[in-house]
Amino acid sequence: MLNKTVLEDILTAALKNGGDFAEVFVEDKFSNSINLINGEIDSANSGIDYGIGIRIIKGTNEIYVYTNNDSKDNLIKLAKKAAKQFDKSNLKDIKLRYADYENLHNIITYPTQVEKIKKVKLVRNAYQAAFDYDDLITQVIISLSDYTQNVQIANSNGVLVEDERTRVRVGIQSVATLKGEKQTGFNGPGAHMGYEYFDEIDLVDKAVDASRMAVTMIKASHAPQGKMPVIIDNKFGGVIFHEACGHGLEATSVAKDSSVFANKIGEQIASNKVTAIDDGTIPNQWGSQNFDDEGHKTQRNILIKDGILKGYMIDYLNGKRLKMDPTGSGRRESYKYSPTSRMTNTFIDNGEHTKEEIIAKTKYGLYAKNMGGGSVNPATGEFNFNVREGYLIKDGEVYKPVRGATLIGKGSEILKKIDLIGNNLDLAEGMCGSISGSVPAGVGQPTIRVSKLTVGGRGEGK
Amino acid sequence: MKIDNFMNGLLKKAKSNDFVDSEVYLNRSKNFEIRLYKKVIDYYEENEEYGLSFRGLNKDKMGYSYSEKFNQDTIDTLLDNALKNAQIMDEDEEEIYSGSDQYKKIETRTGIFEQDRDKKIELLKDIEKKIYSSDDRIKNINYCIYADEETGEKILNSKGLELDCKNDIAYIYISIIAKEGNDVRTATKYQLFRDLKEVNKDEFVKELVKDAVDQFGAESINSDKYPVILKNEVFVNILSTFSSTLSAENVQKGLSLFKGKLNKKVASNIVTIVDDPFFEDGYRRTYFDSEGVASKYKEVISQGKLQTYLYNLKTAKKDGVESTANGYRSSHKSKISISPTNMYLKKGTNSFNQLKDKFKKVIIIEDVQGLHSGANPVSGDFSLSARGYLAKDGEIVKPVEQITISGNFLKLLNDIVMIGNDFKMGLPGNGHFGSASVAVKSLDVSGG
Repeated sequence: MLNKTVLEDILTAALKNGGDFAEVFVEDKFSNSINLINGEIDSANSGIDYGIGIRIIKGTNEIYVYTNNDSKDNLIKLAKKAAKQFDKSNLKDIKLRYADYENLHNIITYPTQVEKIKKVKLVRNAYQAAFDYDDLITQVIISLSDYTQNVQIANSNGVLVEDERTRVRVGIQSVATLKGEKQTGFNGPGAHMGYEYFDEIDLVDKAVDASRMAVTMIKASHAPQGKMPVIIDNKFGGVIFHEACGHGLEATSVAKDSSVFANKIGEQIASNKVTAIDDGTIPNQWGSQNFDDEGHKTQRNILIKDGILKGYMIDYLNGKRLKMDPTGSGRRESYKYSPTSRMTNTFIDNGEHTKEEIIAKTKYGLYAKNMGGGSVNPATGEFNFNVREGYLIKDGEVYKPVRGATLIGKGSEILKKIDLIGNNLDLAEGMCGSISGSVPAGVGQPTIRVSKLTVGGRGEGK
Repeated sequence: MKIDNFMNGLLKKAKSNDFVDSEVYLNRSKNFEIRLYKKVIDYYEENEEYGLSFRGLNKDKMGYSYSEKFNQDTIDTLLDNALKNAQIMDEDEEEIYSGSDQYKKIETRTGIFEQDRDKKIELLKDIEKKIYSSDDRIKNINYCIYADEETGEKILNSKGLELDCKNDIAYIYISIIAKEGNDVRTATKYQLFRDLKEVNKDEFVKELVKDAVDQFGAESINSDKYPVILKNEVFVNILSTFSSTLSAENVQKGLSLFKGKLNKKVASNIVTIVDDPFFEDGYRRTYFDSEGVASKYKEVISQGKLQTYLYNLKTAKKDGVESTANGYRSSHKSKISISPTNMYLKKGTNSFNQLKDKFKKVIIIEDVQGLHSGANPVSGDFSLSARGYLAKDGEIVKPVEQITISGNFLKLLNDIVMIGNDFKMGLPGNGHFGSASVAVKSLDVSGG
């Protein structure tokens, strides 16, 4: 991390030619990864990401530069060079002061305190359980990754913040093979925690579940085609809100009027059963951190309350464009990216039904028990995402497994078609890609039903 | 500390730290990017960066580590981490390469990075102006980006190998929003080039705007099996997604559909897929791979027959063949894996209209979404959100939206009945892919 006077000098140099805001982001991150395949440790890698990003804003125009070279001379030179893009002097007396805060995400066992051999044991146990689950399992790939990212953020408004983010995550992919065909199952548990996370969850259970998914899907028939009611289960099912609506509520697309949800605050945009929240403060949750990557404290932001649009997720620059306050949503993958508004942990809140009731109330439809990823075009709201484990529902009962389904639709429409919401809210972990890179994002929801959605499969319709 | 001194110092210390053989791999890049919004450059970025990877053999096991910090302490940290990682590895066959007999040195750098920045800004401004003046239904240009970069790879190892290669490229990427009443449509277009003169602004704008406004009034269609034309960029993306199935690593690990299919027919007779590291229009032009093996041209699928997998040294040794020089690192943070260089479907002789005329009724797919989730390289299955046009008797009847196309990659390769001559390279990623438009006998289409 850089010392306070050096930071003040860089910020002063950055504003030399007339920017009205300057920011320095220092990142020092140590990561480890271990991959196991075919029962053998196939790769192990460790390394340091290190660099400094300097941002200058004038009005709503932005300059971003970064470097790996942390010498004071180089940083001042770089700040001055960047400042040259603007042409008027705007000298400002910058005094930085460290922010007070309470650490919400206590880490007990840091990744560096755990011997590699113990990490290997963890993945080997998971592998064995997943592989032994069924004779149809022909391959299991397990990856374990951990990191501690230290950041320092300083800006010309006097903000000075240091934050530490430690995360661990495991990816389990099981492959089932039958008659020359292959199907996969996946689980990817993770948290903003150290290795104490593995006392909290049962990794072997998660591994077995990935194999169960693969075996179920290899025996499944093709998913049907056409429009039908779709029940989406809790946890990672929340990816539907993340894609279909969450991205459209980021100031990144709202500020430039390229979101279907722009200029709609106070309007009914969803069924009145829907309340949706983005919360970066949940202790030790995957997408949580004390501060965002602009030095604002993360917040609990109500996005939609009883179907009414309440607010967006806003970063500093787009806040200027929108004339709205930042919401602790400025995030970036690393020093190589300028920050922008992103989600943290985003979820639909609990409703009143049990999952069993929701299934029983459905005469015919698709039950998406496990979701894969997806994507969205925020300007039109068109989204797509893939169902990792699906079932057909007939006469209020789960009838048979189906594979290869994709769900498509428009965010503004699906929100209004959510007609049943369960009471089993839970969260899951994902990586979210956007213009400021790939960041850890939590998703979640209770089991929900969408009255009508296009299902893309290769099987016969109703 | 000077980067060259750092690399040499690291290799030297590795020798005295129980690494029998070792290698340093350096990634360096310079990039420049500007974004225009309503006549103003509202984003400007310029960077230079380094990333370094170390790998070394300790007791027959390869240990890896990487860093973006380069001071004296980092040398010890790198060696210590690599040693700890080597200790938990199971036996493997990875080796440090002493070099090929001959390298076909090619010029891979053109100097676009140094070209006048004012002209680059002018290009964006011209394009923005042309877009807004071409059709008043274009309400917003949400991305108007120019970017260029110069990247370099350097390998230095204890067996005396020293290789260095630089590459450069520029691209524009424009995304527009068109509105007619409540009907909102978007279109995106990019072009890669190595000289600003290559960009035909009028044609670029015409095609982009047409792509957006021709979608007005689009509807879904009935679910059924349809013959389909996949536009060049669409097939490029599909090929790129499934190219990992041609890697020998995935074949050996039981993760590829092509396992056991060597020298067998895996595609329609008109399908030839080439991996060419010397390809003029390819961004991944290089005369050595990430392990230092001299680059090679190869037809992976030749007239429908699978000729070879893509190999690096380790997988080649396992299969008793020679490396095809496809050893690859996506960055200094990754270990040696396998990737195509410039991989393309060989173009045909038919015009796009001839493809369209071939069917009584056909869906032309202009764009697909969701490849990262809706396509599974292990099973080969895909189900993708798509849009395009319905054509009957060679005439476009109506725009089509909110459909999915579903199938299996192997079946798709077998069902290609005609290949166009409208060849295009995509945006480079792990490998750089190209294709012309292809006509496919039948795909499952789901709609309303």
